Amino acid sequence: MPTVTYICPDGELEEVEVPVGTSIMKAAVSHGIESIVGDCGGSASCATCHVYVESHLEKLPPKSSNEDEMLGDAASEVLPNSRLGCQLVMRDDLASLVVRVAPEQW
Amino acid sequence: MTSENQTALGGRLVVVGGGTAGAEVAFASRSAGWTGEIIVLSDEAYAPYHRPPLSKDLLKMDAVFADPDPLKGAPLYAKKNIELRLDSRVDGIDATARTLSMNANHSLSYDRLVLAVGGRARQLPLIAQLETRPTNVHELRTLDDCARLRSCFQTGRVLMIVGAGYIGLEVAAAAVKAGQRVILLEAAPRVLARVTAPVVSQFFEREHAKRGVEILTSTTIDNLSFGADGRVDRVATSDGAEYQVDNLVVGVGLEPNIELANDAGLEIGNGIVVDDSMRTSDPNILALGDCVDFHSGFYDRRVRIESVANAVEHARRAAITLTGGDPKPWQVPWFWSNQYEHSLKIVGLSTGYDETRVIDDSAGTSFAVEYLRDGRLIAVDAINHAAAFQSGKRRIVETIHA
Ligand SMILES: Cc1cc2nc3c(=O)[nH]c(=O)nc-3n(C[C@H](O)[C@H](O)[C@H](O)COP(=O)(O)OP(=O)(O)OC[C@H]3O[C@@H](n4cnc5c(N)ncnc54)[C@H](O)[C@@H]3O)c2cc1C
Ligand code: FES
Repeated sequence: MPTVTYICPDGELEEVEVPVGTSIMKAAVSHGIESIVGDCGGSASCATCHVYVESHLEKLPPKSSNEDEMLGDAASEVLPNSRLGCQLVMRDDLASLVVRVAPEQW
Repeated sequence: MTSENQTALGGRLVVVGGGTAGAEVAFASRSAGWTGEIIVLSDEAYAPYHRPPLSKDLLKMDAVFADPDPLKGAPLYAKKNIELRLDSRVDGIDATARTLSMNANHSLSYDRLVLAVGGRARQLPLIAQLETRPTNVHELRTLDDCARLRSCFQTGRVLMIVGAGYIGLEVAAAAVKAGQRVILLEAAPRVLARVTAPVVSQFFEREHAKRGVEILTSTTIDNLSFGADGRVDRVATSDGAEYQVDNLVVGVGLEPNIELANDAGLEIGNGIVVDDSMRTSDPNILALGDCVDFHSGFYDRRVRIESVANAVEHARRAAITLTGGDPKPWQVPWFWSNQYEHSLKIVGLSTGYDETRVIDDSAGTSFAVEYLRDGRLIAVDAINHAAAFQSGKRRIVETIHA
């Protein structure tokens, strides 16, 4: 199964198996990675699943305007590699994805 | 930290209600340093799950009706040492003895108690007075409700929905997609009348009408007729029409579950009354989420709010109260709804506005309405316009504190 490595704000690395079709927000929440919050359950409404994508950036599908606008006022600094974790759905070619979790989510 | 808190941290924390607020307060309290037992009691058969999909994705017939979408992954309960007891209905609290009774005979003591009991769907008087509830009358609050509604999409063809609030509208959207003929009844002159300005109502009325939803505003039910099986089969409406229906969905609001708190002698207003730290009138008992009446600093009045954001914010505040420390500043209340391909995001409470401004950067498909009172921004409804929602969040805080 593909894995995602989450670099948590405290510096801890968490490697999690993420089934194809599952968002990296869901995978984090179900593994107890508390630095990703995911209040709205993945409907791109809360911006509490903010991550910085550190690998495979070029392979990711582009942000929708909704995702882009939600990130616009996220609690942590927004960078060019900022994404909403709930909108990043695992695919085979994203295996070994590395994301850094934004330090403040709400 | 006070000595009161030091003693309590190792004590038994009991949470009544396994919904959004109940699950969050259990996990947040553990993270914030509660070292003692944490027990969550829920009268449902499922571990705490996300409720918004019940009227959205889970009603789409092309979605698999799988297990509910859990709020916290199943292995986390053991990992965080949180005991979840399902099918456990609390039926009484003895606040003096600090015990509660469960499923009519079990008793459980607590050091701190959290009431996260939410609410129940309001009933139509015409239905409430019946001896047995017709099996084709539905409400939508729990996963079981959602499963029943889905199965009736398969057997019935005509669905009448009473109440054009968010839940009524979301069900209408899912039902037309599932091939139902949908008749939507609303007592007010427009949909979402209580919560939005006319332009927003008009937008949603148009979108629903386009898909064939028959919207009857300023209309109520006059009379119900029943078949031999006790099911509702005809509905006479106040405009003089009569409809043959297969199923009826009632979405006319929520009544907070205050009975337990009331019987325990806690102060009740429009919900269980709590202070800024989520404490009830008994300092050992906290309450959160849909069931509480609290003071909003932003609007300087008491409110009861039904939203996920409110439930998790209350829970995180309560966890800080239980463990000592400073809570984060209050957030402006917010809410979302999805219907068809449209996303509605709302921030703030618009009640009492005296001016609206429409920001439209499209031909009416993506727009926002700003609500002002005495020239200050108090709320924003954003339709397919997340930027207006996000900037609204920030600007409301600024203008209200200005
Ligand atoms: C269909 C639907 C769609 C929604 N969509 C949205 C949305 O899009 N966005 C949004 O922000 N909000 C939405 N909401 C509202 C949101 O789900 C609620 O505001 C939130 O769940 C409130 O959390 P709570 O914990 O206070 O109550 P609940 O989640 O209702 O949890 C209360 C729990 O307590 C249990 N309980 C009650 N009494 C007892 C007892 N005596 N003993 C044991 N257990 C008890 C109940 O069974 C329930 O499990 C929706 C709600 C519904 C029903
Ligand atoms: S979980 Fe809410 S925006 Fe991603």
